[in-house]
Amino acid sequence: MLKQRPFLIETLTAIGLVVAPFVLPHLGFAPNTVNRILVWGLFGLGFDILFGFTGLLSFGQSAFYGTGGFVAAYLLTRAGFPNVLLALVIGMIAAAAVGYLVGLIALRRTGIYFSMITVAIAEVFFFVEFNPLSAWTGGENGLPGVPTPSFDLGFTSFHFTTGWSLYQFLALCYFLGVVIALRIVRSPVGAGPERDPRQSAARHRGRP
Amino acid sequence: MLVPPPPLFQGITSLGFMFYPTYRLAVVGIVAAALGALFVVLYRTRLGMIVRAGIEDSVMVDSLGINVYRVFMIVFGIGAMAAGFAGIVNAPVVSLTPGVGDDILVETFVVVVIGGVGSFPGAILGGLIAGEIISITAMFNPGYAYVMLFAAMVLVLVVRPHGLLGTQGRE
Repeated sequence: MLKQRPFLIETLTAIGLVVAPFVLPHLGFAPNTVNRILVWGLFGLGFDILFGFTGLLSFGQSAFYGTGGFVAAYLLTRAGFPNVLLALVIGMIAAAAVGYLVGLIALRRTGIYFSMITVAIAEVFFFVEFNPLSAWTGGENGLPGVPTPSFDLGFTSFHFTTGWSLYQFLALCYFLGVVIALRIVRSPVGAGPERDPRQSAARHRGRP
Repeated sequence: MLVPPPPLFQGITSLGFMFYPTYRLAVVGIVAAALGALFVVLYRTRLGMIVRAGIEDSVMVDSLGINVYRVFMIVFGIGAMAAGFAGIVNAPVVSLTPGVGDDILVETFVVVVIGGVGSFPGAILGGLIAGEIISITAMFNPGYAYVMLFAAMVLVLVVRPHGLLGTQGRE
């Protein structure tokens, strides 16, 4: 399948994302529901690369979800950061950096112990966010008033507000996520961590 | 929802150096008795022997003509009964809310992981350690109590993944 139609999944995803705003309202979908589906789908993509392809069952993904969201939200609300897109990128980099540090600890164990470490770390993050860092994260109230993305390209400007307008931005992010995820899975890195590490192609090629 | 303690254990008791609710003292005895009963079932009866053998090698126990599946079902039932009993004992101490199960689930998970899966003394030791971590940290800064608890859990899992008193190699 993949050899005959190399970009089948990407194409189908793109078609689905373009068609969705024209079809789904007639089926009774509220735009916020669709947007939530895209956000959860994007989260699921990352989780699937980790669990589906490497077999590492992490319950700590929520910590990175929260880190990325809170860093971006803090920059945009309290720090008065003007550029939404840059704040999103910084949030992503922060989440990745935190993920690297967590991985240093959690990946010392495998199997169920790895899962339990990620559970504990996710709980640590929750309580750290909730109380000690409440001056930055707003604690129980969170960070309200995060602005929606808008871009000024000079000749024209985009402003995504809510509903189907925000859907366009989320759909673009989701599509990029799918493309990147598939690119990772089909790359040598993706061919390495199979479900069974003993039979992984990377092992045979002498990679750890 | 508030559950009153049984009439026998109502009021407070003087311990000489401090006053303490009678029911909380009674809980210590009740829990010790329940733990002792579970210990006897698991280590001194035929059922407990089958359970322990079934954990080690369930195929072998099966081929000896014992229905391991049914025995494990009984064990699951006993576990559920113990959990329900813990809820009954704890009900007069805390106020019952719909979220009362979530809190205890997370806390007992930490206790068992720290103490060691499959170890009765480990569960007691883990409970002591978890309780002391929460209480001592709360004296300095209550906000860090659960942070420290889960940090300790991470530390134990990294250093001794099978828990402080757990059996080595149980997956």
